[in-house]
Amino acid sequence: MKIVLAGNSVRTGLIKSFFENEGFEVLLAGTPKEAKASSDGYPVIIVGSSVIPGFLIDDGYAQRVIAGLEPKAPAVMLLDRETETPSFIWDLVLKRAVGIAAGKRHVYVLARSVRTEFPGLERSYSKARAHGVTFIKYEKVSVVQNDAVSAVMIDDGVMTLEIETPLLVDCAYTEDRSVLEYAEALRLHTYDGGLINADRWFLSPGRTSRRGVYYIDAGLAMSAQLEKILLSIADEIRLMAEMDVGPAAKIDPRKCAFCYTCFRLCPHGALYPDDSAVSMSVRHNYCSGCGICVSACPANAIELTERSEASGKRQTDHSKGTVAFCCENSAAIAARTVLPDNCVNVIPIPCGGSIRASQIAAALREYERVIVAVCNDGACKHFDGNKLASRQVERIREELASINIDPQRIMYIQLSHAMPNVMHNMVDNERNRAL
Amino acid sequence: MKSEHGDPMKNVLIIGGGLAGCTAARTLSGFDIPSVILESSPSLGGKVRQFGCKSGSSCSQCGVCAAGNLWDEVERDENITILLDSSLIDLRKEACGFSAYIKSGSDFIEKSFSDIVLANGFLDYASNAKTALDMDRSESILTGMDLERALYRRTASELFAEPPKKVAYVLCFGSRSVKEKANYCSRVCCGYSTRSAKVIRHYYPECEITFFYMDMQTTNALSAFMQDMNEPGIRFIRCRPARITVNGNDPEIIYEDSGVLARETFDKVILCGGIHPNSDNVTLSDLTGLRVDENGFLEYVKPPEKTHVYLAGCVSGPKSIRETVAEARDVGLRIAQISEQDGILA
Amino acid sequence: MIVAERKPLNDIIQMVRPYKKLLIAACGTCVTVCMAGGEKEALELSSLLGLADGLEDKEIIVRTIQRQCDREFILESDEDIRAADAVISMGCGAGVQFIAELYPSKRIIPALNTKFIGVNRDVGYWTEMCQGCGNCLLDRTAGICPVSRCSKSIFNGPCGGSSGGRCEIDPDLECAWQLIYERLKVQDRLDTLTETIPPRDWSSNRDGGPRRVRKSSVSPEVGK
Repeated sequence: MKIVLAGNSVRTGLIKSFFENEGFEVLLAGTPKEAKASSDGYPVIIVGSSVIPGFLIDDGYAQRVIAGLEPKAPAVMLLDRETETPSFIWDLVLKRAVGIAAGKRHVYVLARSVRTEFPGLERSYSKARAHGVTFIKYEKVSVVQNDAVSAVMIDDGVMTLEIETPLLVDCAYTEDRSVLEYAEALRLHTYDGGLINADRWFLSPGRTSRRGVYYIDAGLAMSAQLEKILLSIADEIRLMAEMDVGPAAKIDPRKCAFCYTCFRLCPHGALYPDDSAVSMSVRHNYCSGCGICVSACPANAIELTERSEASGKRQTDHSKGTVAFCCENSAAIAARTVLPDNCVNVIPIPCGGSIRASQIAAALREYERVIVAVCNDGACKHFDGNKLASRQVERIREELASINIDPQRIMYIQLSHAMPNVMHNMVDNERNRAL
Repeated sequence: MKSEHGDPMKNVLIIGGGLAGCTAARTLSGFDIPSVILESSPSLGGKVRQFGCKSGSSCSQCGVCAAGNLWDEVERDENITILLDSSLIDLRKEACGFSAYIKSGSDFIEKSFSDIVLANGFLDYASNAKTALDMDRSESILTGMDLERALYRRTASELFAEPPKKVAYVLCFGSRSVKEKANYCSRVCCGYSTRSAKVIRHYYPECEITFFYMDMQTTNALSAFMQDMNEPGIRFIRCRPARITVNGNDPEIIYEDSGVLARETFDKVILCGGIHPNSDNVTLSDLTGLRVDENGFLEYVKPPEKTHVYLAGCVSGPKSIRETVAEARDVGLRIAQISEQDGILA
Repeated sequence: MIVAERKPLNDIIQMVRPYKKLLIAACGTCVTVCMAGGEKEALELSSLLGLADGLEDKEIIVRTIQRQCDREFILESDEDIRAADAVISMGCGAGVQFIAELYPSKRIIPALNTKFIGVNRDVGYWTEMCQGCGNCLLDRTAGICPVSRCSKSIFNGPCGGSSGGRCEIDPDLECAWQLIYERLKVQDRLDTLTETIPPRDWSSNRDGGPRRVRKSSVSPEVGK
């Protein structure tokens, strides 16, 4: 089985060996273009690199520097100066500090906060303190350089302290921004201007918005967790190769106008142009069945298999005057928890983004009220599904208003499964209003 | 997921019906591997089932949504047998796997398994401490769990019965303390406290919030989150409170600020309690051959692929929801993989 | 491609009021891609009409005609067209007219306003590029059309109102001649600007009746 390792990190060799030991054939891609070309056929693992101060990772270099210092002069390691120093750097700092202190030299570690959340770091911190390393938490810091000596002035909000040292190590590390070029080439979703996999609740460590594309950032690569995560990725790749995962979108090539709308909107990069069919096609294993493409397609050429509502059939129960299209990841669960059986016809949908204005309009012909209930901003597993839903609702409301129909017949609400009373209240208020 | 993987010899015992246990069970079920969940309480879900949504104006990525459908799915899953009010009495190694002696309700069951997953979770330190401090009946002293339950019950307009004016978070309560035998960071408290604080401000923008903290453990993007906390009405006081008392109705905190001793009352005090090791860990260590580490959590002695005993979730140390789900899922994947690679169970 | 936009609902409602059995004919080509008259929009229109006051008794069906500018596709829906009292065509102006020509006694109602020949810049956003003037001079202007993209359609610009790269008629527009200048500069062809483009013979343009194009190698001697 082949996989592609992309990026130019120093750790690529290590990770390559790991996968080769696990029985994979590893191809290397040194540029975003190469990575993109390979990604159609094989899983891709992007390894991010970053610049970490040599003093922290190169033992030989550190020893030489220290050997050249005056015997009594203190060493100062400065963290959190411009940006917060992450935990994996703390691991290196603590080890280095203990090493310096063992040579009977005073070490100051200056930081805004001591980051010891990783397993074992608290123990390293205690050990460093036991070795006489001084930790000072500051609020403001300034440095003045005079030839070979730095004067570090820190202010902890109560008092100030000045330390003179011939060895000031700025422990800042620079993130590798070139990894964003890979992200763009592989059509990965990024957040907050540059994060690929760090922050979403539904992304396990190492995963990205596309199945089959993984990202190991510097923090992961240097952490004790690396082997565990690589093993989990290897397991997943092996299993994905054998299995057919989840409901897929199916495109009717006769109706497809090849307009690329679905390709652009798919949050998971699961669509690709099939030149032989002259239509868009779905990469089965990568499709998550969210239905955003179904809603987006102007030719109505896509349908979800295994999903009864998308193929046009749904249980219609007109005895209830209200229908609620509920995202199955949030609102549908809340509805099951708090809504009594006989008050609202709940139709689960795979994602808020799968709802179409035409669906809402059709529902209005059969129900007095239509509720569209989706995830909170930022919570959508398909990134922007809830926002797409909100825009469909807005558009239909405008159309309704233009023909003198009450736009509030459509109600829109955002929630998660862990705040179900919000849905209960809304339905209750509605029923009281109707009476 | 459907496959031809169902190895008829594989049958997994999962101790603990919380997030980790249920996630592992569902992963295994995807490969048609049956499992039995032993849950000591009368219901599934553990602690995470009671957690509430920490979305203020937008989702704060706390991870609770990972468990949304999980409990229903487990209950409906034919590959999973759920034994509530149950516990493991004895475990014996056989030639091929294990023989488990289980107490379920008032019955005793003996069953064979090929693999064991320990997912019995953690002890909520703050809840215990609250009882010890005789503050159980106080509605103004909340543990992290109490706060989660309030968040779950939230309505569109209301979080607490009375809008609070002053709220205090006490961090590192039961963590990072040699005295409390918890010389480690519980990892999740800085995260959930800042997230829930945002929710409190979302409902009650005038509420003043004070954090009594030692360090802010920020991971990845949480640090960007922290910048939002830099606004009027939110104070960070770097100290561990000397005393917390309930003075009449309002809790009072005595603390040191810039060298001066201060006392202040609050409407609500939230004790961000540590993740402490489960009280069963020593017993389970005896039964399974796993080791209890210096903090009381369980750890591997030999690789689990050889021993067929796996750990998932906070039983092995503090971790976030996202990490727990990943770990439990990986345990399931591992067991399913090994199933193919060796036809014989070692 | 041709870019169009659906007419306001009320306009369509006024036109369909007198008729009971309605056929909404979507078009599967240009107007699908510009999200104005494809099957999805046709279904939406169908539901909205059904909600409108006074239209509850109408019978509305939806069909998609692959292209309304080629006879064979229209004829595939022959039965449905004949059965309808009126046909709401969601094709461009050409499509509406072609159906009308094939069914001269049938009321054919346009649901769209046809806007321009243009390109898709982003999801849901199209801009005009070509006005079909019939005498393309794009090589002389580095691929930017002064007819469609200059508000005054001048041939030797910019005019005196060009300021900060913006058009004085519509400050949201970039001055086409500024763009032409910058691109000629990149191509090292600024000397092209010294050649005056002579006044245009507009007889190749739309004034003076509908234009025709015949490909002599395949067209029958007497064409319709």
